[in-house]
Amino acid sequence: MLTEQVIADGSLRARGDAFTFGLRMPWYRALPLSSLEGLDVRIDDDVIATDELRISLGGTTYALADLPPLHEEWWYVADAAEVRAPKAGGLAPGPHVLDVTVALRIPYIVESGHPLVMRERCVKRLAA
Amino acid sequence: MTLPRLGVTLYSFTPDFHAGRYTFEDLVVEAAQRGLGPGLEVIGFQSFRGFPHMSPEVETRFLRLVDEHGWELSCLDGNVDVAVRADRLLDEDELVAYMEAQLEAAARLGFPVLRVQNQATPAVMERLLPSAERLGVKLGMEIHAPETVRSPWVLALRELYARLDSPYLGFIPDFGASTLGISPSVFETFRAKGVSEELLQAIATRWDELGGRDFEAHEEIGNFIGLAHSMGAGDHAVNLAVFAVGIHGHQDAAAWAETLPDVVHVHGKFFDIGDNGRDPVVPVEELIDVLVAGGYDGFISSEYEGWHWNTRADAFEMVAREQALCRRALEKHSGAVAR
Repeated sequence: MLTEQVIADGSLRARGDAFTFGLRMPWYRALPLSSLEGLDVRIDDDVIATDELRISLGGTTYALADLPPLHEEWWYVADAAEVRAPKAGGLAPGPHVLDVTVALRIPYIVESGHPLVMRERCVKRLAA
Repeated sequence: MTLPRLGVTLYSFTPDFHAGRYTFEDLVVEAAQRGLGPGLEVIGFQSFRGFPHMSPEVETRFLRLVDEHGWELSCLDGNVDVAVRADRLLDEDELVAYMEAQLEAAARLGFPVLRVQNQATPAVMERLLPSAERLGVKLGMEIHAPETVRSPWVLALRELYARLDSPYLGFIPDFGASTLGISPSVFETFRAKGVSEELLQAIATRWDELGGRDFEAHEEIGNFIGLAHSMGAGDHAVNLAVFAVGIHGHQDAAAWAETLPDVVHVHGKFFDIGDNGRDPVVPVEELIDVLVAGGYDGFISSEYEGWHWNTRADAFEMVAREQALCRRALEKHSGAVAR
């Protein structure tokens, strides 16, 4: 049920040659930034290259590749991270279909030495 | 004879909290006003920003609310995050230090019990014991579906507990480990999502077949996912499998008696209470009979978890109904004492 919140309602914004939206974790408790193992973003069927995504939390902006060593930095469960995605020509005003899949490593669920990685997908039609 | 007392874990209200309808502090107030106490249980990493190193202001405000609203702190839920690092699992030294910080947070706030999870090996538990004793906080290992009092890792801990014989080492039974079947509301939800009647029946049958025999949880969840996929569940397969076998356990209610002397807290897990006031799958009365017969006099913390699939239910109302059911079951025993 928390998956429905992955894209924060009403959070899509056009920003010049990019767009932003609020990303919530589909989980019940704070997780370290090192737990965010994947993020796939599509808008109106255009796939955004993962290495071009930027994630801002608590005033700091990260690329996904910056996150693995950050096991002492926390993403609090009530906070939306702002995701910025490049979009050549900008995002036209009006409705868009935003399709986001987030992968989270759950740090206390480990089977045979392998932590559980949960993937949750949220698709919303939002106005920019 | 002292009977168990009731309370609630704020985990029951996770969707309300996650969606921003209530802040953590709002929940502490709302649950008190609805009379869901006196025992208050919270998840450290959910409720406290910066846990386990919260600011003094956060701690002071929380304790003032606890005091103002008549709560008694029952249990702080810790998490045994052995996979907090992306590159490797924590080693034993690191995990002990990670958990000691949570024990210290429990002690600062005045929680008598820290819930821990099965990634804390017997060696880690033994090493945490001196801190637990020094801080006056009990370590409560949760036994959650599909695990049971006889899971191999639980047996290993029972041996350790017998050897060390400390009141600071205990267990937290979760009522969800002792269910009579998969919640009907799971089937209703997936039926409404278009999952076939044949698949739902196959899931129910397979769940029944697992009763009374040992199985490896991880493997069995995989089997359920495979079954669901093979019958066309698509994107619903994983959730259906986890809801079926991962949170609805098969252990006989009576088997908790084996660990009762070591029980330091209880999770009154439930998924639905009908308009008739009954729980369709958790044998609440029988579980309470077992706890009382074994002399358990701590808290039973109502833990509503039907919200994973039931998006309409009012969690506050569900907890109130479950506590009414618990109260009726307890009254039977207080009557016996009065006579």
